[in-house]
Amino acid sequence: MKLFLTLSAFTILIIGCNEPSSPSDYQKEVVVDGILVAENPIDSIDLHWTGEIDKFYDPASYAITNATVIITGVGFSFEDSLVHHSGIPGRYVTSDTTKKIVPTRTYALTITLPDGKMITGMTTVPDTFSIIASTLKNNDTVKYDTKAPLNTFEWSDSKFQGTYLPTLASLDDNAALIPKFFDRDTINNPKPSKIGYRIGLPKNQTNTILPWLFFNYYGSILCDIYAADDNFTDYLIQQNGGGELNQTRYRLNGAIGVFGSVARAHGTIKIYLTP
Amino acid sequence: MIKIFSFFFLTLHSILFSAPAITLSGFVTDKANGESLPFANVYIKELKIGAATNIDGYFAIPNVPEGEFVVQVSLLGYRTQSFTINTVNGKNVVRNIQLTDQSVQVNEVIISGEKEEELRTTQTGRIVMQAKDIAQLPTIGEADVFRALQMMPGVKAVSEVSSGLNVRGGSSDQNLILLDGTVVYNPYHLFGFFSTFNNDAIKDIDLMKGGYPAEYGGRLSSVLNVTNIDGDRVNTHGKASISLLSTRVTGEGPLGNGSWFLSGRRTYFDQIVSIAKLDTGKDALPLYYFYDANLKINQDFGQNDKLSLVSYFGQDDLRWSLGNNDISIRMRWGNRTNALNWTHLFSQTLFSNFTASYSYYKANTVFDFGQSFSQVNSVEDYSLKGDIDFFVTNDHLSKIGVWWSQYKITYTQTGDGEPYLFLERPAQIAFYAQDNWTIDERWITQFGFRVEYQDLTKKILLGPRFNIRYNLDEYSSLKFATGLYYQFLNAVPAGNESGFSPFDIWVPIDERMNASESYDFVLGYDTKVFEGYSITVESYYKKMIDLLQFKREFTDTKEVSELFNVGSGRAYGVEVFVQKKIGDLTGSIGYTLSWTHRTFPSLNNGIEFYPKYDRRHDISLAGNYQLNEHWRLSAVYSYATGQGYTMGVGRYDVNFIGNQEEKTLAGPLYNRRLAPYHRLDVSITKQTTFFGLKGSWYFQIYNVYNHKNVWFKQFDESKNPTEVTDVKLLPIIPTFGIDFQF
Repeated sequence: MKLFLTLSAFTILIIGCNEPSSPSDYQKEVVVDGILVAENPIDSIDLHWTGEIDKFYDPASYAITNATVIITGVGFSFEDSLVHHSGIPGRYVTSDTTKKIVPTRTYALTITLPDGKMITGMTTVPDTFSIIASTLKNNDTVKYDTKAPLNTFEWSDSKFQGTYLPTLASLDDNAALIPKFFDRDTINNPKPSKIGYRIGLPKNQTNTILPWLFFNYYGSILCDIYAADDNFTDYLIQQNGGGELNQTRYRLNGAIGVFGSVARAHGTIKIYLTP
Repeated sequence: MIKIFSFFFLTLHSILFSAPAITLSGFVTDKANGESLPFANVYIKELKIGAATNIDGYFAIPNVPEGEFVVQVSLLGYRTQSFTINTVNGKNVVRNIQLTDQSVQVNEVIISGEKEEELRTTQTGRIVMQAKDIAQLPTIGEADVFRALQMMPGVKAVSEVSSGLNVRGGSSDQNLILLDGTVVYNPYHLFGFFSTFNNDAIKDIDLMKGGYPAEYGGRLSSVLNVTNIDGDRVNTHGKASISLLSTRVTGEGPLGNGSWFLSGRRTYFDQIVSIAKLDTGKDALPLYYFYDANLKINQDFGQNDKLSLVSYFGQDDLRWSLGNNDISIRMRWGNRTNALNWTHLFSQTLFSNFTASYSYYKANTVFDFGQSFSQVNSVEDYSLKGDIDFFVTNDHLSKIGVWWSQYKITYTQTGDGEPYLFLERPAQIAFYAQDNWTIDERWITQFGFRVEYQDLTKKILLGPRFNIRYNLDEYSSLKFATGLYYQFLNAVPAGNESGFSPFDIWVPIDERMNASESYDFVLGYDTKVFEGYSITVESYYKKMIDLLQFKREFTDTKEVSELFNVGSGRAYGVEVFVQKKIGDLTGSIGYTLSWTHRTFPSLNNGIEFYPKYDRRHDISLAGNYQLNEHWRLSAVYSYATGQGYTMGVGRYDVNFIGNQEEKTLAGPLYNRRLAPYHRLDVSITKQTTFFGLKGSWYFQIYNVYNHKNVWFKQFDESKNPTEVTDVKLLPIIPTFGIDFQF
C-alpha cells in the first residue's frame, strides 16, 4: 500500500511538470492604419511593422516604405494607387486629391509587400449626416458645472454606420482635458491632453449629453460626431482588460490594425469654469 | 418518462399499503442542544444491516427480523451509543437517539463509527466540514466557508481577493450553492473577499465536487449545501465575537416544541472612516460596510411533522464621494432568502421534505457626475421543492422529487440616451428519481436520472447519474461516478475575471441558445488502512459543451445570445487528500494535479487554451495542534502554480480621427504563467474567561513571511516601451479578536 501511494505521488509529480509552452514573445506583424472619410480625398494609409514591447517604439524605425498600396471601388469604377510620403516613413498618400470618397460605396484595399505578401481589406463608407440640434449654438458659452448637464448634441441618421462616435477636442492652446476623477487642483493646473471620445453609444442613438464620465473640457471645444463603418466600430467596441491584455479582432487579411471609413458632422461650443 | 414515474409511484403505493415488515427508525440528534445529526451511522451488527441519517438526521432500517438485537449509533466526534431492540412482538420500533459530543477525545469507537459510515456512501469528491473545523483555520479577519473550501483539492480560488470557487475546471458560476435548500445567487461580501455565510450560523457544509446525485441539478460543476444551525432545544444561550473587521452576535434557545436561532454580524470600516473624517476631501476613502442576519425557527408538530422557517438577509453598501463631491459612487448588493420547510413522515419508511422558498439578489451601482450612470441586476427565484425518501428494503433507498422555479431576471443600465434593459421570466422544472442499492457487502450503487425543462428553450433534457462503490476490504474502497448536467443560468463576469463578484451579471439562456452541458467521469480510491488517517485519491475527466463566455465589447444588444461567445471545455486531474481528524495534532494535506482547457471558435483563433484559473499543481497543508486544554496552534500553507496571463507579443501605434493610440498586440490567450503562489498563515488561540464568561481570544498572521504573490500583470500601453508591472496580492496582515459565550 505504501509503495503504491509513493509510486502514485511520484508519477503524478513527473506528469505535472508538463507546463504550457511559452512561445517567443515577439510577433512580427504588418500594422495597417487607414480611415477613409466620406466626401474627402483619401487621407493616408500607414504601414508599419510591430515592435517588441520591451523596446522603445519609434514608428519611423518600423515603417514599411516600399509596398504597393491600391484602393479600388467595389462595383464601380475607382482606383487610387497611393504613393509613399517622402517626409513621413510608412505613410502612403493619394496621388490625386480630386478623387473623393463617395458615401455608401464599398472600397477595397490591396497591399503588396516587396516579398510578395498580400494584405487585403474592405469597407463600406457610411452616409453623410449632420448635427441637427445643440443646446448651445456655435460659440455660445456655458459655465462649467459638475452637477448639471452642459450640452446636448443631436444629429441626423446615417446609413451604413456601425456606431456613432462623438469626440471632443479643445481648440484653445491653453485649454485641456479635465478628467472627471481629478480634483480642483487639476482643473487649476490643467495638463494638455488628447482628444476624448465616447465609445459604446447604442447603434441607433443619435444624441449625446455632456459631460461624459471621463472626458470633459473647458474653453472652446470642437465636437465631431463620426458615423463609423462596421470595421472601425468593431475595432472600437473591443474592450481592454483593465490593465490585462485582451486579444483584438482585426478585419484585415494578412495584417493587424484598421482599414475603415467614417462620415463626419461637427459643431463647436465654449465652456468656462466656475470660479 | 411517464412509465418511469409510474413505476416509482407504484413502488410508493406498495410501500404504503403492503403488509409491513418491522422497521427501526428515528432521528439522531446532539444530546447537548437537540441539533439533528446528518451522516450518523446506525448499524445492527448481528444482521450486518444499517443506515445513515439523512440531512435531517432521520434514518430507517426496514425488514428487521423478529428477535433481539444490539444497535450501534456512531458519528465522528461523538461517543458511540449502543442499545438493544426487541422485535419479537412484530411491531415497528421508533427510537430517537441522542449522541454526546466527544470531539477532542481519541477513541477507538469513534474511528470505527466514521469507517462504517464511509463504507456506505457512493458519493465521490465529497467534502463535509463542520463550522468548528472552519473556525480553526487561520484566515484574515473572519472564518470563512469558501476560503476553507479553497484549501481542499480540486477547489481553487478565482484569486486571493475572491472567495469564488473554481471546482474541477469549472467557472465560479457553475456551483449550485444552497443555504438550507435555497439557492443563493451571489454569496459574497466585500467584492468577493468573503462568502456571505456567517460561520457562527453554520452547522455544516457539504460540497460535492462532481458525480453528484440526481436530486441536484442546474449547475455544471458542483453542489454546495450549507446548513444553518437549528438552534438549541435545551438551553438558551448566546455568543459574541469581536474582530478587527466585524462584530458577530448569535443567540439560540428552545421555543415551544422546537428551537430558534438568530445570528447577525456587521463590519465597521465605515464607522472608523466616518469618525476619523476620512470620507471627505481630496483623498476621500469610501464608506463601506456589510451586514447579514440569519434566522431559523423550528417547530415539531407531533412525531411526524416538523416545520422550519429559514431567513437570510445580507447587504453590502459602499458610498464614495470623489473630487470634492463632484462625483459620487454608490454600490449596494445583497441577497435575501426565505424558506418554509415541512418535513413529514408518511410512514416509518417514507420520509418527505417540502420547501417553498424565495431567493432575491440585487446589485445596484450608481455613478453620479452631473448626469447619472446606473446599473442594476436582479434575480428573483420563487421555488417549490419536494423530496421523498423511500426506505424500500435494507438494500434499497429510493428517492424522488420535483423542483419548480419561476425566475424574474432583470438588467438595467441607464446613462445618456435610451436606457438599456432586459427582463426575462424563465420558468424551470425538474423531476428526479434515484435509488441506492446495496448489492452485497462489497458492491453499492446509486443510479438516478433527472429531467429538466426550461420554458425559454422549450427543450426537455435528461441527465442520468450513476455511482458505484466496491469495498476492497473493511478499510478501503474504489468508487466510480458519472453524470450528465445542465445549466440554464449564467453569471457574466463583467470585470476582468479577477473576481469582483458584485459586477457579475446573471442572465438566463434563451430560445436561441443551448443549455450549457457537462458530463464527468470520476474514479476514486479511499482508505483508512493507517489508523487515524483517511486517504483519498480521485481522478476525474469532465467535458463541457455550450459554455458561455462574455464578449468583452461595448454593446447595446438586448439579445442575450449576442452577449456571449459559445465554446467548450474539458478538465481532468488527480487529487490526493490525506486527513488526520483525531488526536492533539489534526490536519490535512491536499494535492491537486489538474488541467483545464477551453475552446471558443471566436477566441484565440479557435485554438484550445488554458483559462486563467488553470493551475497545474495545487498543494495545501493545514494543521491544528492542541497544546493543552487552553492553547491551540494552527497553520495553513498553500502552494499553487501561477495563474495564466496573456503576454504582449508586439507593439504598434494607430492614428485615427486625430487621436493616437499606443497598442500592445496580445499573444495567445493565457500562454504565460505568473510566479507560483504560496503563503503561510498561522494562528494561536487561548481558551479563557472574560468577566466570568467563557470565551477565547486569538491572534492570527496572514502571509507570515510576507510573500509578494502576484494578482495579475498590468500592461500600461500608453508608456513607451510598454510598461509591465506585477499587481501584488495581500502582504503580511496580523489580526486578532475575541469570542465569548453568554
